[in-house]
Amino acid sequence: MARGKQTCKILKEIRRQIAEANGIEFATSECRYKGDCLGTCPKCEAEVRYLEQQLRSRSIAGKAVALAGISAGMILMSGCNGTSTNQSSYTLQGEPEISVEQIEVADTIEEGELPAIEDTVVLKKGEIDDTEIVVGEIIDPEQEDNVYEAIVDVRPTFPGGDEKLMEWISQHIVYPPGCWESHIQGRVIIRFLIKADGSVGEAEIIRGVYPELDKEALRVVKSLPKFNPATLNGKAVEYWFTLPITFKLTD
Amino acid sequence: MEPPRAKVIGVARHRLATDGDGVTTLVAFHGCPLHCRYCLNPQSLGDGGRFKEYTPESLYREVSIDELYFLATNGGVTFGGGEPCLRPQFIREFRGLCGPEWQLNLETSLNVPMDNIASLLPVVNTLIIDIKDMNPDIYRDYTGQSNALVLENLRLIAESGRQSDCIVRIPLIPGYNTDTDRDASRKALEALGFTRFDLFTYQLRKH
Repeated sequence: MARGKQTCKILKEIRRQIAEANGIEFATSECRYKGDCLGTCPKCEAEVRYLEQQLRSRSIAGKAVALAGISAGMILMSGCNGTSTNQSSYTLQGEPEISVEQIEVADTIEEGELPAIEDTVVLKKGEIDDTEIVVGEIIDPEQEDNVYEAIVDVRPTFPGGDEKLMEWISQHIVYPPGCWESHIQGRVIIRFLIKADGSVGEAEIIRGVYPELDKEALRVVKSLPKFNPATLNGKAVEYWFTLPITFKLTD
Repeated sequence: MEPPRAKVIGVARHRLATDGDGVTTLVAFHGCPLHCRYCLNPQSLGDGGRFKEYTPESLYREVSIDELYFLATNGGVTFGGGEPCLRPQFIREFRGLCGPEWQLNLETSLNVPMDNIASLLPVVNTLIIDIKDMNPDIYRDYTGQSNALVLENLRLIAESGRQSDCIVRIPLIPGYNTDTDRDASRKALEALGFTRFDLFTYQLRKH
């Protein structure tokens, strides 16, 4: 899971340098995104748009804008890669009832976050995920740990939207009693095929936690009702959807 | 005149020092003249794959979301595939849209007509050349094609004085060449004035 985090760190450091070089106040917030970090997320994208807007207004006001190559060389040795896609994350809280929240405010530092803006990231080669990305290769969806940005025009949606999907999962998932008693928790990452007719086909565990939790996550995903399928050039096409499901017991 | 359209099998953002320096977006075209035994992106071949059609403008609109990163890191767009040098008009028009500041790189086999390379050289910054092997027999064994065009294009690049903008990848291709062959390839390339090499071993994949 390190690749997305590393990409996120590096991109954030580039944004920080752009802000600093141009005297832009840049109060980045911590990433609250609970899904697996893909290197970018809506918050990170919003920071880019903010910087662009600040740079534009500086340029309109006749101020010099420093941008070209200011972060060049920073990532020369990193050999790191990330792709982006829209991915939802669902946190299931056990005991006494399961509730789901897409993006949860965390009070601890999460994966993919910079603890604070003043902590400049110094990237060393050894820090980078050692999974090799080959020049020119479009990442194969079969490979573990990868998010495949499928070429589609419209991604599949659950009837009623993400909230309904979360609601549906929380209503149908059962925290396996054995795991509940033994306080087994964690995040299961599942990948499943949404077929061109919208129904869920194959599903597989990309990262499991514990056999019973994995099995329950698979069971629920496989019983999902039909999605509105992805489309490409107006035609419905199949789509591999990645979904992290967090099993978490509240105190 | 209708804008050129091209089939693209994938667009991958935020590649860091993988397909060129800085933050790059890899745009992989559909279609390739070769049929390499260990092809990395076999979905670029045949008609069965999934692809999306772009015009230079629609592609520019999509990838310009990362312009800030490109400019700050001397990054940009790497065209791969498939074989990007089958789309010179598309890439030239793309350069017209993105302006001179983005780095445009090609990840190419150079096994295309010389006119294509001649028209691309003025608009690209770096060529990452996958040479396979300079030995014509090894090349044909591995790719199913002659490398006569590759050799002509290497000479064209050398005559244009652009060797220093090229990174030549010399792979060890299991079952097809040896380290001795690679040394021979390297010497032949050095004789043409190429100086930047990337020696690596092809990874074998299941397909």
